Amino acid sequence: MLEACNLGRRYRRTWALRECSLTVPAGHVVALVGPNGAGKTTLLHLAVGLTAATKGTIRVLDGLQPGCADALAGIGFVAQDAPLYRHLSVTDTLHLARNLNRSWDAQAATSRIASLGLPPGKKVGALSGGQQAQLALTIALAKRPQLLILDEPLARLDPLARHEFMSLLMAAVAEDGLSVIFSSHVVAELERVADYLVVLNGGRLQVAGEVDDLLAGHRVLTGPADLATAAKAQLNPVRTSVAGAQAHLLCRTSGPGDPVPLDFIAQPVSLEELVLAYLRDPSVAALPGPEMAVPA
Amino acid sequence: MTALAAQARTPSGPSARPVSWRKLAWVTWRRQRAITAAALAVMAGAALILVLSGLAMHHTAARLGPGWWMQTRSTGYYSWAENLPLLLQAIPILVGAFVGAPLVAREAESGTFRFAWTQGPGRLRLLTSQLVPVAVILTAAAAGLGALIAWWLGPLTTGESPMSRWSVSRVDLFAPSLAGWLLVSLTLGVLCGAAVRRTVAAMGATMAGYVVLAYLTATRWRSNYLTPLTGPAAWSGNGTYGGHVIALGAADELTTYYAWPDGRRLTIQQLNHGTAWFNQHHIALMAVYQPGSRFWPLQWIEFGWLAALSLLLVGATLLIIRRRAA
Repeated sequence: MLEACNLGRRYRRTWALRECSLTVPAGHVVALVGPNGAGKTTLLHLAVGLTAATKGTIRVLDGLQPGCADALAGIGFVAQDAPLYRHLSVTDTLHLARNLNRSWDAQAATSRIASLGLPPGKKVGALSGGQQAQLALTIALAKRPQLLILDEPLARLDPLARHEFMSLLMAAVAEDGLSVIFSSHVVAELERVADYLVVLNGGRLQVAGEVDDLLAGHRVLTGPADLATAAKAQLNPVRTSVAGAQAHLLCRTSGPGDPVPLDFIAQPVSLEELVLAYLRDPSVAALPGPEMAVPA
Repeated sequence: MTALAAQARTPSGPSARPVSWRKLAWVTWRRQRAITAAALAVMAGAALILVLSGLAMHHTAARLGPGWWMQTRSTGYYSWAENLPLLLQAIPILVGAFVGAPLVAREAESGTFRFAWTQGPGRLRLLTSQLVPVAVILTAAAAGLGALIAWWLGPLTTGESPMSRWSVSRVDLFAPSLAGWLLVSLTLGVLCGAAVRRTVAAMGATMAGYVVLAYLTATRWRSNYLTPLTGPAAWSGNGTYGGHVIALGAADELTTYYAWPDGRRLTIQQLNHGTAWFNQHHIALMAVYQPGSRFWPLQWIEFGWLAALSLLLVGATLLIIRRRAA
């Protein structure tokens, strides 16, 4: 679905993204997470062909060059802030998008607009941010893509709109079986929708893998703070936090059978905790082995 | 509808076709119709003024017969003919700044390129589908306006009228030249928009670039499209004007000088002699000029190189668009 090999993009003298090698298999809902300026948008723009790589290669769908006619037809993209022509009405926007794409499911688009309650005659510029995002998603889905790429789709939405947006997205995924890559810096709601996680930090790839594998591969050890130093040396945790008399160590684990140090208890980790722990320490990484990172 | 949906179900194979030009024509119509109509309206307004005043002027000229312009200086046609071309000169500049410059720059500025360029046709096909129809329509309109201007200037620039169609402010308003300048301005605007990516800055760059190009053409290049001829001008050996080799309007007089019968130029000291000395030594006034018969060939030469330059500008724009990082 997405294969990057030693991918890098430089803007003037700063690298927005570097040494990114990544293979995302098809059929996943991928959350691309990272702080602002981590290179999320750069990676997505590389994937849709809006930006050319400075170094390395990137392939989408079945080994296609981003931006080629087949890739454009097979990928539905909603850019950050869902840019659409503000002076066009909803109807005209749909008609425009229909004429900009080879395949177009007009029935699905129209019924989706109706069920969302978007007034067809209203100008796009007069819609709320949430409605614009819904319209942009409708257009991206109506071209029946194999892959949907969404850049910060939730950023402008209030909690209710966020929920509706995600419901629409999840329904589409269930119906059409398409793959989704979406970027976000909202960590809290990922667990509900994403089954594959990619974390970017400071332009570098930090975490990549299936959510279930990542959760199973990490645990939190809680124990007395005065034993934390010894435990740290022994376990080499991803992150250690000390609150009062208690220490929390987020550690990698090979399974439930791993030994637990004396006086510590092991607990499963939530996805949010995991993401935050990695984001706080850019020097550690959880990536698949090199044999998986190199595309075929 | 169902056929479309069914077709989309199958993943796009290697046989995938790009989005058809017919579909893109609708996109162009929806996106460019307002600004193109505005440009056409400006030209139609100019045409209306030309038709109304031109009909009156042709009527007057026909009524008064040859030399009518000597009798009607006071009627205002001359001031019309002096000032109207200056306004018409603005049309290519306006088209470049208001139609050409925003074509890419506005998409870049508002962020909508991230929508438009990631749809089916891709950015190059999309730009081509918008630029070509607009360029063809406006260039054809400019050619029509140029033909109207030639008709309008007719009574003022024929015969012995002192008003010349070769004048800097009029020569580029005839159909081939005006069409060429409009096309160059439009494509320069699109290039500036693609390079600068900000509408107002692109408009400024377009106007500045156009003025520099027009200035260089008027002062340096236009008179040399074809090697100028040299011949005796108005001064004949007997001290009377004759020959009319370069009667104003009939030819483009570039420069004049006094020469000995063998063709050598007079020195500055020799120029101080009186008329008698000039007659005695058969000194002639020589002119370097473009003959009237070259007027239309020179017009087409101007259109030719401007059209070629426009193609280069479009090529440069496509290169920039293709390479440009978002």
